[in-house]
Amino acid sequence: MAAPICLRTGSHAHRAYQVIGWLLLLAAIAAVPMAFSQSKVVLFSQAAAFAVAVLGLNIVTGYSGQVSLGHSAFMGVGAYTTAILVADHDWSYFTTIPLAAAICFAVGILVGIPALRLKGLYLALATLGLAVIFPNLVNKLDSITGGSNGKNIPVRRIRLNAPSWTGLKAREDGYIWVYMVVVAFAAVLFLLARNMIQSRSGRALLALRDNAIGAEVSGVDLARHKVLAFGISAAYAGIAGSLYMFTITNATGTAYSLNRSVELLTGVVIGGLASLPGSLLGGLLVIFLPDWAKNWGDGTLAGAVYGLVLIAIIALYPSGVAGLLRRMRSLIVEIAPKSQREASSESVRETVEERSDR
Amino acid sequence: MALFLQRLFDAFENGAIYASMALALAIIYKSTGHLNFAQGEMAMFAAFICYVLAGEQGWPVWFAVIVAVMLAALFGATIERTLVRPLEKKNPLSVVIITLGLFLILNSVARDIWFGEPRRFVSPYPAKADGGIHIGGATLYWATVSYWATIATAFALLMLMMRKTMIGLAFRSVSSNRESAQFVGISVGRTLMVGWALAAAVGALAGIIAASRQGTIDANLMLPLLIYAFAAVTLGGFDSLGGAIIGGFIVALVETMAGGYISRIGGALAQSTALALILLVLLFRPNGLYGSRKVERV
Repeated sequence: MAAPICLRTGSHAHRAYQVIGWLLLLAAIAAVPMAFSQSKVVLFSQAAAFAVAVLGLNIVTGYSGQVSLGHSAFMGVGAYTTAILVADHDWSYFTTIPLAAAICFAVGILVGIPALRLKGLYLALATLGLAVIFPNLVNKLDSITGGSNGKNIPVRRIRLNAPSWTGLKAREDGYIWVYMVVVAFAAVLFLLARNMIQSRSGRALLALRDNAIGAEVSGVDLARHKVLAFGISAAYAGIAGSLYMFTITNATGTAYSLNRSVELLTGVVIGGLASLPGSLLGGLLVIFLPDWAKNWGDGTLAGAVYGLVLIAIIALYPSGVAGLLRRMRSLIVEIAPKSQREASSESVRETVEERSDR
Repeated sequence: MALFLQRLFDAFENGAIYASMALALAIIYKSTGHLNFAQGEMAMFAAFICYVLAGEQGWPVWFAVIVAVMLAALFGATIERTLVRPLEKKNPLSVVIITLGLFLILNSVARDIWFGEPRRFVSPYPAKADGGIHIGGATLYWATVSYWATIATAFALLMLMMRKTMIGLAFRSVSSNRESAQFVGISVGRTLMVGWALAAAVGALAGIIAASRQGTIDANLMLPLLIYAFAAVTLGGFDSLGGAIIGGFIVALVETMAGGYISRIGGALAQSTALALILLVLLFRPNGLYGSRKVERV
């Protein structure tokens, strides 16, 4: 079945289509603080932070085909970095972000080196260890982390004050400013990820995922690319944890346990493996699904809901919601590349997929 | 010396659980090449079934154990047939994701059914209060001896099955080369199903041993143990059944000794010894102690 509208990449119609799409997304983002109550806007800020974590995990799982269970720990490291520095050392929220990213990058590399040189499930294994240890480590180092009570941010430092140029009330509207900041960070990180995936390294990762031996024969250094990608992915999770701290008032070890990692993985799978819009959907889902699942059996069954959805998606629709949307779009609009040579490998792959769907 | 001996015996006690869990993980890995992240939760659930039958329904405890183990085996086989087999080929990640989904489901359902305080577990094994053998000022509890007797029996039966029966032969050929096994007419699907059933049964024993040692049972029973079991199976070399048992003991030994002699590690940080072991093995001996060189380095 041919789609009724066919757009050539690079044509004016295609440009217009893209611009309209971006404008709609921007409008939706801008409408959130106006359309929703404070508590919902906070949830949306958290969703943006989690989208960054899901994106980080997607770099590992979707684009390089490995499962990491340690992303809860990386998020936790990011969150604690921000919480400790803001609460005890009077740092500004913003300056904690690069530090959180750097620490997580380093830990990611350290774990990645032994686990990623080998083909197989070793990364899942090693990162499972990270996820299990992190809450214990937090309890053990209670003089720094506040132990099992968690690290509380003092009342005067809770939330950022909105600067005057925004026209917002500094204190009361701080939550809107936080929303804007988190979304802006998330947007930049998504753009960076997009560029990385479309770059030489990104193509190398995809090649390694699809055929490791073939890629190595073509001169791709497996260990280097995988370890680096995992480090970047860990840094994303760290930044996400840090951004999440912008929206909440305390960090606890139990919030970053193994279950959190599986939640993030659920976000990746449901949103769509190896898909950037999928990661955004995944972030929304990780925040809003428990909000709905709360009412199921006193909230204890939320995990079962996650598990069921996870298995159902991987069994029935492995390309996730993003794949479903892509397919729905292809019923109306078809985007054809100008010529195979000019098109990037990504869009070629997409077209081939869509062709074979028909 | 007495303290050292006591720690050694403690290592045997913990090691029994790690070894049996690792054995379950190794059975699945050997036959299918997958790691079952839900193994611990399956074991916990089986232990709960044993608790319900023996503790709540008042069945004779050994009968309850046998029923729980058989139900676990049935569950394992069902999972293989309904989830793993149809999805395995679709996507290499899917089995990991399925086991993680199962992990969440079992954990949360157990939490929902048996909420609240940990329940007292009616154990088929002697308790610590029943004493043990006194050697050089330390005590090797009867409980520990009986755990190892269970594991030894299970392992012996498993080995007997592997060596002497047709299904064991099929299992060995499938694990050494799945395609060739299929060519010579072995029903690969059924063999893998048996593998999952066996693993779930051994896992159920691990859960019952763990609950017996703790004396109580709750949904968190196996969570802290999972990482040790994975360390054990890594050390033993994923596809070696005997290696898994030895790995389980060594992991427990390292844990108790490091926790006992290095005061900073004790208690909360004991689990980091397991992670350290995993990373060291992957770094220096990716096949573990007894694993075959199946690990590809590309």
